[in-house]
Amino acid sequence: MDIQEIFSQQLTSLPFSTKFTMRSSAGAVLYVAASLTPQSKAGPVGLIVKIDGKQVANPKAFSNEIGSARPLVADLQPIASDFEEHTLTLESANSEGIAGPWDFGAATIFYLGMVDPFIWRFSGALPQSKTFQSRITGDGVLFVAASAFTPKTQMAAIEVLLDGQPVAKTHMKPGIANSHFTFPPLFLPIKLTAKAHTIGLAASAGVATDQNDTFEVAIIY
Amino acid sequence: MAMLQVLLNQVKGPLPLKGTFQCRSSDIIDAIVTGVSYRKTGTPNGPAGVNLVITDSTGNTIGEATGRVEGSAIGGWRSMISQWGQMKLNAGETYNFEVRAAFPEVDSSSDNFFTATLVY
Repeated sequence: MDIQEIFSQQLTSLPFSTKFTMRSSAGAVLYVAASLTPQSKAGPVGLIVKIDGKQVANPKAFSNEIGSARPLVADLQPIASDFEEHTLTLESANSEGIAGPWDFGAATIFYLGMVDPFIWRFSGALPQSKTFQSRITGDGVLFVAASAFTPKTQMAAIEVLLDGQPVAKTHMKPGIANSHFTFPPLFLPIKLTAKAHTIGLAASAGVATDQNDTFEVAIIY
Repeated sequence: MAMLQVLLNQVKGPLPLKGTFQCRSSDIIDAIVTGVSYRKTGTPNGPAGVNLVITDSTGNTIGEATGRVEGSAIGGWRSMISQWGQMKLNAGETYNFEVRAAFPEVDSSSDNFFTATLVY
């Protein structure tokens, strides 16, 4: 798979813009990961990601701590592609999120060919599941990103289930109770059959999720 | 169809984490490492993070991917912002990989999990 890194650096101010030239007119997805610092109150923070002024992604998270970098739930979204030069722009989604002293960001394009990916991004309490039609029989690329909170500090995990069977799990031990945190995203192989599958996310025991948590599951063929 | 090779799948720290793998292609490949990071208590504010370093049989660094995050965030460990790293290896050759702290101030423990993946 052809992967093009657009940028990866410390974010010193927002909005941030950079120019890049796409290198394929086949299907593509944009991956954006970043952190932001809330400046005055607990609440949602996020980025509006634009290509040539049009919104294409919205990585976000809920932050309970002021003045501390909060990793956003990374976003992977389909984009139109060609061989032209474009401008990628990151803007804060609200007045609360700023680029603090130690915030970072990265954007990458995956050129996929002509097979559309399955992308499921949602907010709300787990468990949740969704049916999709696999376009292939063989190995696909599973991407998962998630947030949650725990009533007490403990090891937490979010598990990905394919047709009811666990296929991936991401772990995180938060240092503060009742504070939303972001799990490390995963890129892992997933074995598929060209048929309808049910994919789901479930939280481990003692892990809570609500409308302020964001999740994404994507399968790239 | 993309082909993935998993070097680490939610493997516990502490860092460093080391291993070997046999490369499956001579085309350009991309690597990513995800996990959490934090700075040791008592160290100045600054970045935390890890580096995934690929070396050949002579010890020369062939490729690298990184993760970074604020190192002194309230509440401790934070998920890193990961940067994909691009490299060209030789199919059939065996390489070494190591996930290591990016800075001397970075802490790690058995409560940290790391995943490293190659995409062909």
